[in-house]
Amino acid sequence: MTTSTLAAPPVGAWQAWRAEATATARKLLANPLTAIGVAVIAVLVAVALFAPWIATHDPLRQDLSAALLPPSSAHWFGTDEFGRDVFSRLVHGTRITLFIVTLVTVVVGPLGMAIGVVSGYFGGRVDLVCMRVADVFLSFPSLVLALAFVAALGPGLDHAVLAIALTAWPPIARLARAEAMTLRQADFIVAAQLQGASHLRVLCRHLAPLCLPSVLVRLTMNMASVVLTAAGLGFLGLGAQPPLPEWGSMISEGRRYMLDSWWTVAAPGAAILAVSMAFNLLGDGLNDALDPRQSS
Amino acid sequence: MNDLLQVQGLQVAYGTTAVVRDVSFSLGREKVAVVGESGSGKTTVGRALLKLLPQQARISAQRLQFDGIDLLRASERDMQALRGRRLSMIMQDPKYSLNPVMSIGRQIGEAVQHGERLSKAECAERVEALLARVHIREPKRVAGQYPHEVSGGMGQRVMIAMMLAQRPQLLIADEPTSALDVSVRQEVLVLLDELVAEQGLALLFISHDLNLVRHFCDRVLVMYAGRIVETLAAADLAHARHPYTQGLMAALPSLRQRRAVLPVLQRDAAWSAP
Amino acid sequence: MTAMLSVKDLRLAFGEGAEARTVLHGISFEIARGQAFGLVGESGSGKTTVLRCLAGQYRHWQGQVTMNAEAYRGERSPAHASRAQMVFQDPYGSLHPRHTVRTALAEPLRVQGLDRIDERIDEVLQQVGLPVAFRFRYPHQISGGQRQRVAIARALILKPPLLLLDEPTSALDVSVQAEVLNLLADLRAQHGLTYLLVSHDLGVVAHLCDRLAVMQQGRIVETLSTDALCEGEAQHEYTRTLVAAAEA
Repeated sequence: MTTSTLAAPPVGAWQAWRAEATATARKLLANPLTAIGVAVIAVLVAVALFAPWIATHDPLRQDLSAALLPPSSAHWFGTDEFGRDVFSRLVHGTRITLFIVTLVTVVVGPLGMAIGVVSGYFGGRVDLVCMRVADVFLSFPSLVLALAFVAALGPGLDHAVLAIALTAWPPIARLARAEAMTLRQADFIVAAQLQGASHLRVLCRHLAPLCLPSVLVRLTMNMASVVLTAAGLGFLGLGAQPPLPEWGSMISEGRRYMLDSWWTVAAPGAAILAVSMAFNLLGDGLNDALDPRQSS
Repeated sequence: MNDLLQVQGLQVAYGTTAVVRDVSFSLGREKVAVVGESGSGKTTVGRALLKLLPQQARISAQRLQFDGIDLLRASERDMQALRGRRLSMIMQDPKYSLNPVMSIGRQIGEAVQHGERLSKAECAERVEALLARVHIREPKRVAGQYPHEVSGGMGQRVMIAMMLAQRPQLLIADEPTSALDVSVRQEVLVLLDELVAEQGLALLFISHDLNLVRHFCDRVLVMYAGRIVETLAAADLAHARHPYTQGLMAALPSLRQRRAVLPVLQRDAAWSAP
Repeated sequence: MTAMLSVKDLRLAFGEGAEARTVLHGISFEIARGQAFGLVGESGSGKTTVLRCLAGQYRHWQGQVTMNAEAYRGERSPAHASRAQMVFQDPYGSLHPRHTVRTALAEPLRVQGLDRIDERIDEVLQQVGLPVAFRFRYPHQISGGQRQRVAIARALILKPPLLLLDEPTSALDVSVQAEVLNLLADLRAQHGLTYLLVSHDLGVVAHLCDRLAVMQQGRIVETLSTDALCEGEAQHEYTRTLVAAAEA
């Protein structure tokens, strides 16, 4: 086994960590496709942050006299049936998309990992119970569960997010569980236990950090499907409610005018495509960069 | 002596790093050991002969000849015809080199069928004969077992049987006994010894264990940092001249010569100098 | 003087009822304070299993174990951690891949709630002959021999009187093995440590240990001093086979 050479030996804990992180980031961006994915996501975040300054018009202001105008220098992506500027609605829609993706990830990631790691580490009855619960949630298609939630609680973005999150955690849990099961036999885990570390400490400081890479990869790939599911819910009228400029509901509303005014559907559609693709590419790249077995 | 294998100036590099540098030796119908520690390049030499290195590896040599065939210029197709048939290899751990989902009989059968069309019965007969040849009792029963059901020593003998199926002329053994228990090691070595004598096999034995090759092989090539630092007869190991070889011999804890402090190898940069 | 470690009739079986497989059939031995004791045997002999029982990895064993005059029942607690520590076989697997050397060495101290962490780390790194600058390296940035030194440092940092060694040099190159064996011998002399060394290599056991027990299929077939072994006074046939193989 070869040892990697050090340019200059690190002199501090922070330096050591930073050196490792830089090396991983470099590996990540070395792949052109991944770099594209990262760039698109960076653009998404920037647009969401600076939306009020980037948007050319007020996304909610209606002007029926300027309805369904094709793309022009005044309206870059044209206008929809209420005369609202499509470009501005797209730009403000990035905030909603990012909101959904972030919220789902922040809920699903820690929850799935916690359950998975505990399940894999302890095995036995704990494992049995956790995995059967996961099976129950896994058996619901997210869209169907969302429908159920909406029927019970009423439509809205928050409920949609909750529904998506509830069905997205089991695969993460399973992944974390598989990693934990492999790693719990490792010598360094035994060493930690031998030092008298409590189970909680072993789980948090030793096991979880090693399960993190594959969970992260899975989460980024999940983000793509979250975007699509949210768009689907929006399309069905179950997610963001009008007049919020959510991309899926934009497509739903523009559907009627699709044949003559293609821009009302094409613009949000292209945005969804670009963002999902970008997350997928990032996930792929992360997989290659973080997988220790694939080091060149 | 008509040397079966002639290697001159062998060099293997990954990018700018040379892993094997200027290695030259010849091999006749004898047992030659290539000894070195991890990173010495000994396994790379073995795989370079069979051209089984990853794509990024660049092999070059002044001469790389096996029985008159130029291995360096041989195409992949030519190599495929040679590998397993005339040039064979057995590796360290049968757990990893045997297919875990195929029965032993089937795997040996594949080796037997390689290039020949035999009926099922004939094939089964040959397989059992091969298993018996490697001193496995109850060959019929073992043929039906899976690799994880047999011990390490037996797995290694199965590997040898697979290798024998094609009657090769040259065998490269890459640490074949390292994963085996001490008592089983002897059995496998005795078997290899018999085969060399009986079939006139040329054996290239790659190992990190100097003591082992001392009694088993005829000649020893000691490698360090990609080069051969010393070539000598196994019987002369006690009188090795190169300081690395001497250091390796001295560093081994021995039952007969107990010392309070084991002499530590002092590495000299001159040993890896061009 | 009471023994540092006393094992009486240690028995262990896996599985239940008809499928029960007995792995240890009543192992008994004693190690005096400051002594080094070797357990020799081939794979499947149960020697590593004995070590695991003493480390608390297996709990369902029967028998009596006394460590440092206190009865031991297989618990894994901070108290036990300061009595016995273990050095593992595989240097690549015994250090957490994402922890720097400093983190790995600080961990046992943190668990025990000890202070002066950096001081203790520096001290122990010096003892194992590693430069202090190694503190911030990750395992993949250091060699196998160096990793094993870190593993030894980690075992020593809590200053346990008893060290359990599971084939500590079998995964190392010969030249590195010599260094690590010398280090282990030095440390024992300097700190009066007690070693229980498990190995399949009689040469290694003979170098480090005063006495040894030979195990075969879950039983101790012979216990003798290393001097007796080297002078060919082994009685049991299996021991003789091992000696013959080692001297070959």
